[in-house]
Amino acid sequence: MKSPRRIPVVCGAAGLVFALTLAAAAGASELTPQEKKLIPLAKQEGSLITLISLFQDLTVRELEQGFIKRYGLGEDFKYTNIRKGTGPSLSMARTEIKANRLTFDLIMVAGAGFFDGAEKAGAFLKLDSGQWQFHEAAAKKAGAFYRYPDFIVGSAYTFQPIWNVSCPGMEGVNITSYDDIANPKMKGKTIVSDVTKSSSYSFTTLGLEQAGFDVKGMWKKLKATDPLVAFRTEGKMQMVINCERPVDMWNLTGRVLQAVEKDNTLAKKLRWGVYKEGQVLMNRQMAVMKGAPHPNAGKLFAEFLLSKEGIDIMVEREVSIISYRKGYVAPESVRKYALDLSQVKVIGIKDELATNKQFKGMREEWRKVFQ
Amino acid sequence: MSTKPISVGTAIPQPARWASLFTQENVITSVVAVIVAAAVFLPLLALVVSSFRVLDDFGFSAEWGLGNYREMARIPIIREAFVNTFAVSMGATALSTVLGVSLAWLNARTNCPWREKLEPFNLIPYFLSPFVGAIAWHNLASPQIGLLNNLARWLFGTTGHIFDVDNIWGVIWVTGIFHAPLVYLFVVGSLRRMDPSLEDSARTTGAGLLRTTLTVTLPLVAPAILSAMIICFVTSAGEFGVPFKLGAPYGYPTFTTEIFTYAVGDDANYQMGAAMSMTLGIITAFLVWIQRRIIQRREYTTVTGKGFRPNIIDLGRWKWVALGYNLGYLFIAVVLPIATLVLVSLHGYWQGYIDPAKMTFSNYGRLLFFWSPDNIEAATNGIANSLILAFAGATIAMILAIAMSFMIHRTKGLGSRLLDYLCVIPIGFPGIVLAMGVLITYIKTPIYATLWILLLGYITRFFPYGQRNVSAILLAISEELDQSSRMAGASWLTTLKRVTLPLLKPGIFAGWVLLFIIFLRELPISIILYTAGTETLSVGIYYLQEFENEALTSTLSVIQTALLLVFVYIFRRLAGREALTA
Repeated sequence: MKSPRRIPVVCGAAGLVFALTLAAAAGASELTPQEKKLIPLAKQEGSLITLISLFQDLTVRELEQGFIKRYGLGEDFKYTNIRKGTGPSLSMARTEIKANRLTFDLIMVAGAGFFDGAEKAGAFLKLDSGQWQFHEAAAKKAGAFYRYPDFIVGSAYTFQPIWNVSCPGMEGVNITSYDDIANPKMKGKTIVSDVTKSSSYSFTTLGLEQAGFDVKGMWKKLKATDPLVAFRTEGKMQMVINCERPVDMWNLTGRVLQAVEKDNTLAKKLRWGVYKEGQVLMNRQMAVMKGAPHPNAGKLFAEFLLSKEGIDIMVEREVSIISYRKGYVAPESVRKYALDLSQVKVIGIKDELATNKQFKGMREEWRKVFQ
Repeated sequence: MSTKPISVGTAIPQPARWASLFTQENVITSVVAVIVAAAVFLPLLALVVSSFRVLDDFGFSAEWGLGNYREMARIPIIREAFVNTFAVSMGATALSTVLGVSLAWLNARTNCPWREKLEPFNLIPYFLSPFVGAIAWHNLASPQIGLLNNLARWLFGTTGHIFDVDNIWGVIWVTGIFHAPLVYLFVVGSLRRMDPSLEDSARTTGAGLLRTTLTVTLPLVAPAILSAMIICFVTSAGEFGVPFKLGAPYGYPTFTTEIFTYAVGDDANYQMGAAMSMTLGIITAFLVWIQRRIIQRREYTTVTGKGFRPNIIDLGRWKWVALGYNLGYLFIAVVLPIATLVLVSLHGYWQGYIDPAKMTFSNYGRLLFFWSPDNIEAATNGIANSLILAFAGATIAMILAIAMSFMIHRTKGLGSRLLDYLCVIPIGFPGIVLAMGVLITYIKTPIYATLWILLLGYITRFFPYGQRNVSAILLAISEELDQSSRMAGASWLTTLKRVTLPLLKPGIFAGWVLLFIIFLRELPISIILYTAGTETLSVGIYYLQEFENEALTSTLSVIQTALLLVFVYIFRRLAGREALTA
């Protein structure tokens, strides 16, 4: 028969071991009570599926490792990301919500209208986030669209001009203004982003308009440069690199880093800038789905993406991530590609939802000029 | 031996009338017919219904109405896409007809050197992916970065460009050269089987070679040419990969690219996509119905002993020009594109010029070695999934095709005619259209987001191709053979196994191989129905193009092309010269 004194000692020891295990798994930063509560549930689920258009394969692998390490989920835990473009992601999500048949746990994408509609349709699980408190103040100040606890903002981003100085006629080019892009010397060299296919480009256009910029005038000047109209940032980066069209008005510095990683000679050829008229900041909303196959893993992953460890991985791999986390600074290895918001004129979208409703009219005007 | 006398007036028990309906033949063929009818009609019904549902601004509720059809008429880009689709179909049909008929005539009716050796090579473009062809031609003949233009600039010192495929002409060019073998297949068999006596009469009365060919030979095979043209027109109208790469990004959308944009683009308005799908599908299905009506007028029974030996025309010195023409087609349609893809794939990041110092096989490692830490899962998944879908899909589709062929050609009455139309419908609707219907129909079922839904999409869309192969041979086999077996006491199933199927073997194998190849390179259905883990080869190529770069895209394109060529070679060795030919 066990001594009555031994039981509390055993429990105490077990508790200490458990706490130490958690602490070891926690890595650099502490776990919140909400994370600790979710860990065993997520471990039991054993798997996570996200719908995030941003993440490359390498990013997913590193996030998987980081996620497992931070929470001690075990090497058997599997993380899969469904990568489609923003539009196809929203399309898939809507279709599955309406059919009440979810194949993913968490979605992170720029889509104010979608999140509004989905929340009203009761498609999201309520979050109880310990990490969101470090983001909320900055997100609110920036005018980001969120409705905690239904959906929050995972990260922000902005488009910058990128060009290739090694292409014919591009020596000495420096772009700091939309006037530089629309310069007649750029004829046959420019890429114009297809606003009809992307919420992000549409938000950027309307954001500039809200800030008082003459967008329609810019379109006319751009049209005169005989631009190529294109959509995906990866495809446009390929065109910039092979000189098919050496200037892209809206791309992501993360694509530059990804290209340099594949061919380091590109570091000398590619340049990027900041618009003096202002950089429009857009937000990627994030939510966990009601009816998800692994809801607890989804909630825990949301916490991870808001934690410093998660943000570090995303920034190091994708770069073009602007975090609202208080006091966050990008890792040294990628700092030169990251944007220092304190050094630029930032334009926030006033009322993302109302702006989303203006897409249709704006796109029709754009089509009249470019299509 | 004692026997019981039968007394007068004793009735011999007869089986119930209803029991005679449940024969092996009726049960098996009815079950198959119900499966096929459900597979074909349910998605189309879903599309019809969806096309009359008009989505609100945020996409979560819809109401009944004609709004989608009104929007189609109103939006300029959709009207433009319609015009472009018509232009592509007409242009590609014209080009493929000229190429296909001329190659068929050279191969079947002239003394062009090496014609027997060249025939299987002439068919290669048909077995390759047009989407991959478009990727290759973009890298070959894009105005700024195309290799041919770079070569011309280097050789002649010019600053502009000679070739430009990034437009509607490029779409016509690539679609046309990839469909030329289809026309070839339709026409070459007719040219070989035609009665030479009419040509002999024309030559006897003094008509020259050209006049005889134009006024006697070609009109005799006009039904085959017309059939081929209609099928080319319909297939070109439904082509997605080529305009997706060479047309839409450069301001030349087609109906299929716009359906894709509306269905899965930013607006995610698949109801609008459904309305557009119905419009395109009705037009193409009508054209295929016309084509079938033309073919039905032809006599098919040839397994009776009477055969023809066609005249072989002596071209004289012109035979070397003919050989040059054939080799030129192969060089342009096969060698150049494949060589370009290989060159681009050997660069870490394609910068628009060949740099031997930077060539590497690293891209192949990333896409083939699933254990590699930087492998791309969409590609490695794609290879495995495509092989599974091709093997399983071709087998299941051929089983359905055999049963359908029996029902159509060995039974009489309204049912057989209805089933015949059932086999026409999937051919008439483009893959992307049917895939949307399949998605809407089956999203709430367990097969959603699995390989099964892709299998269902593939089989529904393509089983008529296998059915056509089986029907062609079944029609040539006299019914008397089946009837003799039945009269000798064999059951329907025994007759099928021991008499009919052995005779059908060439058609079954040819159909299986055709479907295998088609499934291995399929894109429009896959791109609508895939999810993470169920990518196919073509989806992998699309994924790399959208999310990675040209070098990786070309690498997976080379891998797909190599796989297709290897399988074509294996199947020809297994089945002999007759496989994969007319």
